Amino acid sequence: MEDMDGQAAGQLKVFADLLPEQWELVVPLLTRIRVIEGEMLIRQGNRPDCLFVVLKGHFMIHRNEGRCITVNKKGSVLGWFSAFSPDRYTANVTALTDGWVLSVDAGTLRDQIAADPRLEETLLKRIRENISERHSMGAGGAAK
Amino acid sequence: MTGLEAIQHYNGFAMAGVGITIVFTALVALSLIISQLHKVLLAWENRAAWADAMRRWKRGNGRGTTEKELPDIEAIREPARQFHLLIEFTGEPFSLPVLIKRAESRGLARVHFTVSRLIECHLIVPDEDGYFRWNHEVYNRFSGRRKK
Repeated sequence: MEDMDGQAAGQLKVFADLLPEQWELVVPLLTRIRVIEGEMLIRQGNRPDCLFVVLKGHFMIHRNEGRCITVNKKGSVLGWFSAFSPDRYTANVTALTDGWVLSVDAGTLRDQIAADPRLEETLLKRIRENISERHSMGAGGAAK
Repeated sequence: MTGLEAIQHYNGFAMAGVGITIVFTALVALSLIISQLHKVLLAWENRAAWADAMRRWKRGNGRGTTEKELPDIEAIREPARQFHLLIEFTGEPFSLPVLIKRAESRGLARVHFTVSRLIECHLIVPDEDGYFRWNHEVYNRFSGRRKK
């Protein structure tokens, strides 16, 4: 993983409950990438090849019909649906500011989840918390 | 007197040494400048953000605070006025992506960054349906301060 040690990534809430052997499988799927303001990270309708975890920056999750929410909390998950389904992305994600995200290879993650259902349970629990926090903070709209 | 003896007599070796040193020093300096040029260009492209960061650093220097500071509202005074006019024209509630597109089509600078700042300053606030509103209360306070 470029420029970020595994321990720092493991402290992110979304990965906090993973068992050591599960974490060993997830670490190779992570890549730290820089995003620039205005960059479209996820495009609605595209094949879901990655999900992203916010490390730094302000992001807008928006649907083509115009509704959106914004997130800037470290550890927020973007494109989470791609971890569990190969269906197309259901929303766009655009960076409002420069920032950093952790990219997770969704295809391989789905394979690992298929091989170990406990991984799905653990990740889904944390992602659900993440989404409900997002909504309780008053961000309107919904996006997968 | 000829050859090496003559060179030695007229400080030829010392002059050659100084010459080599000057040339190599200049080449090293030049290569260092070129290797760091991308950072200077990046800073120049993001000069508004750098200026903002410097202002916040100066303000926070010596206070020893680790709290996340709100953006400098003074720095977004003019963009806030422009977005206020645009939102008055388009109406409320508004779609944030549509607002961004309109602002870009009118040639406003660094639209995404500005929208982020306006949200952080609570000048643009979300409603319950995925749309956004202009916070007139905060803007009036902000405008009132401007008139002083």
